Amino acid sequence: MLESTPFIKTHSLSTESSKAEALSAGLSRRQTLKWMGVVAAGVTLPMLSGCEDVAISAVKMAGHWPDLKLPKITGEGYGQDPNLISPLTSPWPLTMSKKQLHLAAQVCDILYPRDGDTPSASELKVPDLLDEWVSAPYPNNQADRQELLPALVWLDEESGRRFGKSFTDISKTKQFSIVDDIAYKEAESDPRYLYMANVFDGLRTLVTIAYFASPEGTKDLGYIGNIPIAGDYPGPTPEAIAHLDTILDELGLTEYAYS
Amino acid sequence: MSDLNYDVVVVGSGAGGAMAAYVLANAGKRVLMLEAGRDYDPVKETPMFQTATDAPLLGAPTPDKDFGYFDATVDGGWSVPGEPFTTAEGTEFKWWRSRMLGGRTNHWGRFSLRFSEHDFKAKSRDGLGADWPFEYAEIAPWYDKTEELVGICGTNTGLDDMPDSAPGVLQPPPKPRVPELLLAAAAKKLGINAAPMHRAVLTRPKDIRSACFYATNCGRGCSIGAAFQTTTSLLPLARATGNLEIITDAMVKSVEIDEQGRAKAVTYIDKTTVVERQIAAPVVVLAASACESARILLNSKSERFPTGLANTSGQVGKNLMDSTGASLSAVIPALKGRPIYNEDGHTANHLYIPWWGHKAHANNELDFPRGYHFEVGGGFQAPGTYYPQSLQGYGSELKQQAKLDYGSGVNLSLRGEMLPNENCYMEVDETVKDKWGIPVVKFHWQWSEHELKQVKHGLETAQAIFREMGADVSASLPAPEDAIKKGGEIIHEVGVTRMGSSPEDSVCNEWGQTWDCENVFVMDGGVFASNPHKNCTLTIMTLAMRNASWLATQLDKGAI
Repeated sequence: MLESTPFIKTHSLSTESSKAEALSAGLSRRQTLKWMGVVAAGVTLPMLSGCEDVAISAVKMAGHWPDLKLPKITGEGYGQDPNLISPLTSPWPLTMSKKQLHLAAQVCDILYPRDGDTPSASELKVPDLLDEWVSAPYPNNQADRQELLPALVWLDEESGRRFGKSFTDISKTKQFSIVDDIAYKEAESDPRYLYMANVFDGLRTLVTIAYFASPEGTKDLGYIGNIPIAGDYPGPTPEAIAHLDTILDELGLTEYAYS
Repeated sequence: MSDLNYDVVVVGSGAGGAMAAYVLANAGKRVLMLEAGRDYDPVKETPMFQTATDAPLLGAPTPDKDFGYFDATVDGGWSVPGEPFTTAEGTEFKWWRSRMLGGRTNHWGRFSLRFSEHDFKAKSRDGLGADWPFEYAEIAPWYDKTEELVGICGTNTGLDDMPDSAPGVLQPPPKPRVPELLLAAAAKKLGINAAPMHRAVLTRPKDIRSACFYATNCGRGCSIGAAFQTTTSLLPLARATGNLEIITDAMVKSVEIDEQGRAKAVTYIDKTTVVERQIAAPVVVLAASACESARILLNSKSERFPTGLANTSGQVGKNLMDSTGASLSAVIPALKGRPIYNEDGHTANHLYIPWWGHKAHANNELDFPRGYHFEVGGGFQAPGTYYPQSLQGYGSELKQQAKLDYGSGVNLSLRGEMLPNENCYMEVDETVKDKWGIPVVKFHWQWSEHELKQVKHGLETAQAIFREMGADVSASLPAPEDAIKKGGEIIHEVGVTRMGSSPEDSVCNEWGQTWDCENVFVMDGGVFASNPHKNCTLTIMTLAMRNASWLATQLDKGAI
């Protein structure tokens, strides 16, 4: 397939089993997962939850993970024969509160702030995608909901502990001081932040995908395909070939170049 | 309907069924085709150019659309509501079904590699599995005809794993792209050749179809007919003869026989009215997909054939094979920040790595008996499918990284040959019926050491290639047991009604004609005697063309 062959299914950023393995081995999750997930022909979100595991529970407790008891989403998906030409814009009821969306928007814009002429993640409606994502009735989305919504609460609680105010009411500098503790590899060696750092990594991936999928983000990324070409496929540009020649040389592969 | 309305009833409209119908209709035979799914028109229904933001969840795979929102598959995927299948204890098996006109040809990968002399007679060489009942030389001209009709781009490479096509048959392949060129050089250093993939994608216009314009993923289907699917080619071409009639939403249950043991009718459920109907059938061609055709035979029990039609050998359902699959990805530092250009191409492999180990096998240097190839993934893919990894931080630092990483990932997907084994088969589960009242399929599955050793070799080779490309390959490789895909997951399930030279150990003769019943044929992947690593669809179509041509001559002679 992907081909849509099952190629598409090659990755899942953090299946719970590999996460548990990484935690119990005291390794960086990224190291364990090095072989997975670099290339995919479809989006699958990091699966942030699954079976409970002793190691994971301990990590959650060390990081004072909020226990939200979220109600299950019960509803229909879009079915196996949806309209592909004009998809429904909102196939299921959205569930995030204004407060959650407000906080999510601030996190999105910490990740992708306005950058010159390129709008910020919230200006590009990324929070709406998060809402659609966690409100979807599918198992993966339900699992992500169980992680992403507590992550928002975690930010508020952490902000309360440090500054006595909710996350949306503190200064940018103070917000950065919290995010600095969860947005880098170092968090993986600190039990207070390990679990949140993992969830934040998944959230960052989802926000990144949504950001660059938007028309403005796509332009910013530089993707220039998805347009019909008359005649033969032109192949790499002279500039791209020149770059290839350079790296072939650096890697000692020039004599093996494909012809 | 009267008995004389049709010469042949074809069950299924995918690769095998559509080709059989095309050949028979063009030979002047009146053909009725029964398709279990709904009518489907790619010209009107294909989401060409839609972007991730046009779809729910950015088009991500869900249980409703297993390969993503825009995948062409209708009313199917890994599950079909109301049409379950069962598995034996300890078995994990996946079964992809499409319930639509054109079947799985609407979304397939279009990889179209010929089997070779080596592939058709593997048992003669290593004593394992089964030989096919003919030589490559006999089928080569049929490959040429099929490739000409379908439209295959690629080149003759002269490599021992890639038999040449006749001159002028192949269309020119698209130019290779940067990640493929780097991979090819790295592999070459290890003595492994890359080659242009052969794909059923037109790079030159043909009959009613346009040439590829190098955009929008083939898995969605192709409204301009460049990426081959039967719904834009064989079916409309066959209908134009006036000799083909198609009934959709017709779920075939069984084949009925007369007192002489000949097929006389096909029983199907009209899904729109949920009424069981019977239609007279002078000749039946089953091409419902390997396991569906075997299911129909096993569900066609009679006093004369108490274990199912065409099952005197006991081989219907046995010898179930898929391709092996495994995948390894790496970030290539040298590809970071490289100059961006339009890298869509025909949206799949321009280059791939064919099996290079024929000599090593001949010299007994490998601890597994059958070969594999690598498909290559990567490039500047459309956002929404670009998947960053190992991102750090936030803000401008984050964006810089994401942009730098874009297009630096490369994936190698192994597709290998498995051998049939006694633990891999399907049967009918009499205890479970689908919503049409038809007993369902039960799968049994277990990989053998052959496949696991092959996957181990593949993972190590992929790691070695990535090392030459400058990737960090220090992480330990997954165990083959963990890396190998589940049975059925590569969607190359074949072999359950295999052809052979003897009615003792095969279901069909070399023409796909069942040994037991001279007017019942199988023309899908079920007839495969072995499952070479090269993707089954081209050979399904080639055999259907050859065998439907033979059937037409037999009908002309009054021999059937």
